[in-house]
Amino acid sequence: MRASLLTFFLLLTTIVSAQIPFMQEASLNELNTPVKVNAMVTDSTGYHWLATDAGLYRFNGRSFTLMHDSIGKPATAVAVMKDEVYVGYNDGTIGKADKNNTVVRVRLRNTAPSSSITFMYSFGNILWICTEGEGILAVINHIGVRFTSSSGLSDNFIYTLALLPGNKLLAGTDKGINELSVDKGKLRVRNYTMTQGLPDNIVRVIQPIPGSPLYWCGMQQAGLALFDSRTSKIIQPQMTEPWKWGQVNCVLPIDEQRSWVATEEGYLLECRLDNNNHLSIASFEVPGKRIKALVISRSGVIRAATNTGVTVISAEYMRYVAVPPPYRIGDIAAMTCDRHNTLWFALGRKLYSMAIDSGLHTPRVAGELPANITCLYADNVNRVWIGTFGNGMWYHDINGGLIAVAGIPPLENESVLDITGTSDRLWVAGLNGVQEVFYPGTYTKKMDLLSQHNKNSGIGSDYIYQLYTDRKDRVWMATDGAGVCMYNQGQYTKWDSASGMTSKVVYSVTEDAFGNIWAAALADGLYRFDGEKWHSMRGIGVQDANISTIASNASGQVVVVNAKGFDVWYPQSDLFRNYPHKIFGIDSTSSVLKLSARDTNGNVYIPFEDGFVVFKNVDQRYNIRPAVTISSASVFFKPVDAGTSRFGHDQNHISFRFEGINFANPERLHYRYKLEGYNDSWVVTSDESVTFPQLPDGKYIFTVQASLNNMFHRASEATYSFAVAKPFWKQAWFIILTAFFISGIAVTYVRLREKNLRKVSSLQRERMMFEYEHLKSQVNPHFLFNSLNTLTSLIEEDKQSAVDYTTHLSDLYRNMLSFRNKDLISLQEEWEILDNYLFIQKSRFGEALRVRFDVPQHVKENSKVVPLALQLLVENAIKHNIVSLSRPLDIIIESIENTLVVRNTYQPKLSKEKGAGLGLSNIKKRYALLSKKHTSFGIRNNEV
Amino acid sequence: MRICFLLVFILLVPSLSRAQIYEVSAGSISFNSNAPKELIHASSDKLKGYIDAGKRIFAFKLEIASFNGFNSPLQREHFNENYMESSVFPNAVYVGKIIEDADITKDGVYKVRAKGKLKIHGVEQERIINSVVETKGGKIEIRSDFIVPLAEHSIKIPRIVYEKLAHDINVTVSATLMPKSR
Repeated sequence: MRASLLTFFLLLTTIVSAQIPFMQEASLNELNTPVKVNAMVTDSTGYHWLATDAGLYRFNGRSFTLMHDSIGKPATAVAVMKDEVYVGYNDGTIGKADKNNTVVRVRLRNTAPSSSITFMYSFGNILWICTEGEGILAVINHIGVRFTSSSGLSDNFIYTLALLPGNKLLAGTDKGINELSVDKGKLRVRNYTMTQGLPDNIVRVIQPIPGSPLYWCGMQQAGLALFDSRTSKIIQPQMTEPWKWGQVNCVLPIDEQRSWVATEEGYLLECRLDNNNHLSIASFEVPGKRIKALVISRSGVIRAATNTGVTVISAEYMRYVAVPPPYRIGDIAAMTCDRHNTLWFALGRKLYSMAIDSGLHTPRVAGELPANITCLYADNVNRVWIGTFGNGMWYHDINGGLIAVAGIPPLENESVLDITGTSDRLWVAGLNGVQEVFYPGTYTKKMDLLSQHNKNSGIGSDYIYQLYTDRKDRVWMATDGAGVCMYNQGQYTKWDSASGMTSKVVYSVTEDAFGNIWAAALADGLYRFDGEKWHSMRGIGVQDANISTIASNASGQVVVVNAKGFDVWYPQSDLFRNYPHKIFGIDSTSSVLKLSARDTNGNVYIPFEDGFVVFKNVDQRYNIRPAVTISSASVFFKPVDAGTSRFGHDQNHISFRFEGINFANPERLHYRYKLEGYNDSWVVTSDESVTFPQLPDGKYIFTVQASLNNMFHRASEATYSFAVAKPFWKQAWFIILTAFFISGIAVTYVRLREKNLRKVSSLQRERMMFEYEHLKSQVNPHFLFNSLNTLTSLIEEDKQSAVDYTTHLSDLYRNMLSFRNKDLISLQEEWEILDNYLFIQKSRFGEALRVRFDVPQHVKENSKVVPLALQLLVENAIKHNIVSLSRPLDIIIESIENTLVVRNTYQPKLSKEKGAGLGLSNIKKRYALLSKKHTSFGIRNNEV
Repeated sequence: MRICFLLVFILLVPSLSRAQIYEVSAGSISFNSNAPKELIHASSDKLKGYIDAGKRIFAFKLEIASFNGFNSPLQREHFNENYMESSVFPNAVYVGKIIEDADITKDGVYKVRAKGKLKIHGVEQERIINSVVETKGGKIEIRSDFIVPLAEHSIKIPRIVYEKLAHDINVTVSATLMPKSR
């Protein structure tokens, strides 16, 4: 608990009640600066919400969290509406707590208060606001509707509101109680004042009693009155003394009979109302405190809001009976409680009695024995049997006086360890086993020894630390050496280690309200026997294994007194509640064995330094199990909006903060968590946050449980489901898109490659075709015939020319053969072929064929052409045109701007030569395959 | 603002209900702080105020600087400068209504509750103060004891004198009121 424990109030000066609650003050801040708390409520999760002068606080049992606000005014009222917390301030501002621990201002439309908020109340979706002097506001969806004295209220200063059956409201004002109802759309006000029997006109508190038609009305100076909602009548409860505790500030009803009332003057009153409307009041003073509000947590802890902070009140589960000095109750050796609720206890050789129901707790000396008292037992006719150390057994007669038991030899001068009784017998444990004796009854004054039980008779040990009679009249024995032994109608029952009881030395035995037997063993902790087996209760919340006393109350709690304090088993919660030393100022526990007493109502009394701690029967509905909430989720330590359930693949560093809410043992809170989808095993921690870095994509459920002392059986839990998205490269659309893209690239590549291959192969084919055509033309018999004719004529005319002619012809053929496989040859080489060809043709046509070759030398050397292109063009020209002396054929070859142009005069033969067009298209194709340069053929201006 | 309005209202419209307005003719306020280490006591007789017995409303005012009788002049200086800041908040004011229906103009002794806004050190607190009213021959005498918690009026106590000063101050008021004459 961050708030340090400040004060332990011993309220000895004003004790009226028999049993005093423990109280302890907690500060709201680290500095222990007083903070005035004006109002306090509990929400459905179990959080307490405190409206204070410093703002709104949330309390989880351990720490107070201040909600940030920009309002900067004292908070004066707080209400919970549908899991939302609304807070009212002293300037009329209304705020709402959001998930980020911040109070945001609520802007009211239509009308808004401007004076201090005294009280807020919600039912359904209506928030009711009471103001100082501005009447009542009903707020629905942020729209305010105001009711004031002009609407019929008797006063505009409203202290409180309560809902009545039939959609009516009760409002407490300075001028009585106003009953508000709506009739045919009009507000009807019925007023109850002192004229109608109200003891005071200033009504500060109206609180319904659960399960009852009655409402408590708390007044400014006249105390309490009741409003009966069935008869609409004011009832003044009967009181034995006039009201003297001042202004009623709050009422906390517990059930139909019992309520806690707190006053401005610092009184805490436990009020009991019986069926005759008689009110009995037990008052406790809280010095220096003005109590503004009371709330009760589900574990039964009452908290009072005071002008300096919060005070914890243990009244619902634990109180104490104060025994002032000089008695040192921490030293007592034996105790018991009789049927009149008189507590008997022994200090040394003296026997004391003290009535625990009466107001004053002054022990009375009932007698003194010649030896130290070791044990006490009150039988069902209120005789108190006394065991002594070395002086046998005595009893305190109901008419007074101490009488020594005589006539039973084994008990004379015996050191008695324990005494118990069944219906008609007494059982006395000494150093020689157990003596079973008859009570001195009506028939006989004499006590008779009936039988002896010892090591040899079947117990297995002569030393019995405790004798305990259960509700079935069986006698249980806690032995030294034989474990637990149970005797019933002549039968001894013992348990070996196979039954679960491994210890042979047992100090204390008790039966709980459900019939289970509990046993405390030497240094071995605690066992519980369910009728069949013994279950070790070790390691599940008992603070220390050195247990001296176990005792059970009527509501199922089992009190375990050990070296470190008290532990109390809560059967409904399946948990131990721990009271370590120092809590509530209890600074010691006795190490004397089996030191407890139980009153007729079943409450258990355990001695401590200043009196007796009373472990009260606890109301069944009180549950000490902690609640747990997941307060926030974060990505990379940045909080996300509440309820975010989808996270991106790069948001996979997820943290959760969680918080246990417990008012019983908040310091013992433990958590365990698991992340289903990641790891299915529980991780136990006492941290309040966990981080999962680098979560892979997937669906997860985060579960956290909270419990005390690592006992997670039936623990409450909170879950958070979420999913981490797949990264885009793992998502279907991306994969499909990528597949399309890759196959697209592959298809394009294949197509391009195919196209290229096709291009290459077509080039080859073109070339082959050309070569073929060309060779065909070369071996054209016509050309050969012409050439040979020309040669024949030359041989006759001019031998030398014939030789030249033959040389050129052979050169031509050699060149054509050597170049035909090449893609490109230089223009120079082409010219050589052409030159040879022209020589042959000129020999034939003479002056009828005129060829002009007009290409500069550097172009000839650097430029390249398709082999035999020029020769083919010239051959074409000669082939298709008339070549005669009368009409000579002009062929011009020139280079114009990087282009080779072959022109000839257009004088076509009348008879067409075969294979026309094949050569031209062949050239064209070959050029197209090799370069982007344009080739064109055509007839222009009588020239080709 | 409201207090001023009320004062002006009571002062300026007496003719409407002349017989019902009573004015403080002699009034004293004293306080003491029963701290563990030191008892501080001071008083002032400069109380001013009116009661409208017909409407059962009242307004009282006291100049803070008029308190006398401290243990030392230094203590008085501290009182004015450090705690009450009387140059900033010169007056204490109590304005409100009387809860009980009793007609206090008639002779008799009445226990009444005065409810209203008590403004000290600039901080208003809603208070209910019990008073004894004794009316005799048209003269009204009021006696009242109440507590002023310093914290509720933002009167800060330095740590060094935290022990010396009580956190709750006991205040005693007694005043004689006469019908307002015109």
